[in-house]
Amino acid sequence: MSLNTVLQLGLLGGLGGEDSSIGTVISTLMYFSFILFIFFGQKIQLWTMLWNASGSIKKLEYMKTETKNLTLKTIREIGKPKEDPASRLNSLMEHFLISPVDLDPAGIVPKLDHLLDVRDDKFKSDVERIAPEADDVQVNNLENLVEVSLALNTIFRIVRHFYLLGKKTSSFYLILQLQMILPLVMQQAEALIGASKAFAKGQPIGDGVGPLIVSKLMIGKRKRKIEKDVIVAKTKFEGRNAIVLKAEGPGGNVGKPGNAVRKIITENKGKISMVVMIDAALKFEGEKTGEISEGIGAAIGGIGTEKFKIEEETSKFKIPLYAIIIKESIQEAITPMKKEINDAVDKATDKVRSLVKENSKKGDTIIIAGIGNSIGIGQ
Amino acid sequence: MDRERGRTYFYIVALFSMGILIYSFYILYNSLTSYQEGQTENLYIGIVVAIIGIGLAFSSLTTLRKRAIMLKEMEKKVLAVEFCDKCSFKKVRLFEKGDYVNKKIGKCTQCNSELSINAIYLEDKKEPDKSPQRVSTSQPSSLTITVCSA
Repeated sequence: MSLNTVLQLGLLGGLGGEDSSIGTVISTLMYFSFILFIFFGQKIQLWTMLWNASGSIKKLEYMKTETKNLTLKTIREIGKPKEDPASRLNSLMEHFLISPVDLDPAGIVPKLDHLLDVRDDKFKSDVERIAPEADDVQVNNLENLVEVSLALNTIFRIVRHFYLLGKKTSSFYLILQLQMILPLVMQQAEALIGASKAFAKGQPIGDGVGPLIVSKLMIGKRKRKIEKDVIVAKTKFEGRNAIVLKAEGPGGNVGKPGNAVRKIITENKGKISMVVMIDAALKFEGEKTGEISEGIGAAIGGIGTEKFKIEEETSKFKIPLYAIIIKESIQEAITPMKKEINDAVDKATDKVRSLVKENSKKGDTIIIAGIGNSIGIGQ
Repeated sequence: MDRERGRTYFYIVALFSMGILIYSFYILYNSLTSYQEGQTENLYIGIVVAIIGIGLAFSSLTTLRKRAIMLKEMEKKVLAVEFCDKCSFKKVRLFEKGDYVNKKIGKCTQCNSELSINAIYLEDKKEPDKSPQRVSTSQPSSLTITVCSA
């Protein structure tokens, strides 16, 4: 019984009148709906969920198209391609990576690392091809932007797949699962929209807080490129010889900090007193953005290959591994950096300072790694 | 154009929801009046209709509120902070394409030493109220705030 019907009944009956037939109609409708719900309750629920999911799919499709248009616009503006980049971008948006077989997991990490390297190189060269006039920094930013388009396209395709499958099979449980995860999926998609704008303009994102902290320690120091897209500098920090590293900026980069840490440890013949990793980490609901926590272990996200290398190398030489994390939500991590996160830079540096003082001696060599995307953050 | 259309849609839905809410209260009031006149049946019908109406109006208004908050978030601007390490001269302005943290942008107007971009972050609407420093706006149209604590 729709609200309109009820309102019309209310209007026609005047509510103050004495026409008892309205009551009869309403009670009949009540009985009817009661019986209807007994027999078709689940079907009605399924239709409602499908209706909701279809709304979300339309929204996702809109987001995907908007991001794709922004990507195309940015490529045309920056890259000045001679040919239309649309078809090439379409094929990039369908790009995929097949994970190595994990039936025998020993030695899977180097295989995965190799595949990721190949993928990154291919992606970069494809972006360079569609944006020939773009410089290195712009290519990195465009690469990130294309990645966002790809992510949104993948989310859209997966959600649509389960929606259509559920509709086709009328499977209540399939649609129920989709309905349950949709709010989180939509949150991620909305965050990706914010990320696309930041990448198009080259603005620092929340995830860049690690490189931002380290970049402050690098000011005025001689820098060198130690590994693919990773910059290091030597500096004095609380009387210790600190080797600080971050992804090369200001282009959108995360670099290969695992390889860099490995190389620094090898160059120093394992004589490193401690490794401090600074990274943005996901906060729990209810926690404040920009809060800082201290812990043990490799503070680095991603697929796990870089984390593996750092853990392997530090455990080989028995080097203590410390982590400083700056808390933020998934949306805050990939959208332009919030003031609270920027304000956490000094507090996090103080935390690193006290950690270093407590756990190493003057004259020791230490590594401080700022992990995250360096977009909009120079060195 | 799209933003304008969205705003019109927003106001139409808000007005419609308010209309439904007011009408639901009117129905509730009417049904209570008829109950006092001895028409019990109308009271039940009125309560059911009013509850449905109030529920729908509240749900619609809550959705609109969420949308308004989201739009407000989207309208936030990104700021760049120019800072001089020597004299602590600070200038907050809107982010421009090509800006990045640690970018050297020339000489400080106060002490002639190196001026660089110290921070880039999303505008915090409460920020001016919180700041105890002397703040003077030199270019209001481009949201430029200059702070000199030296």
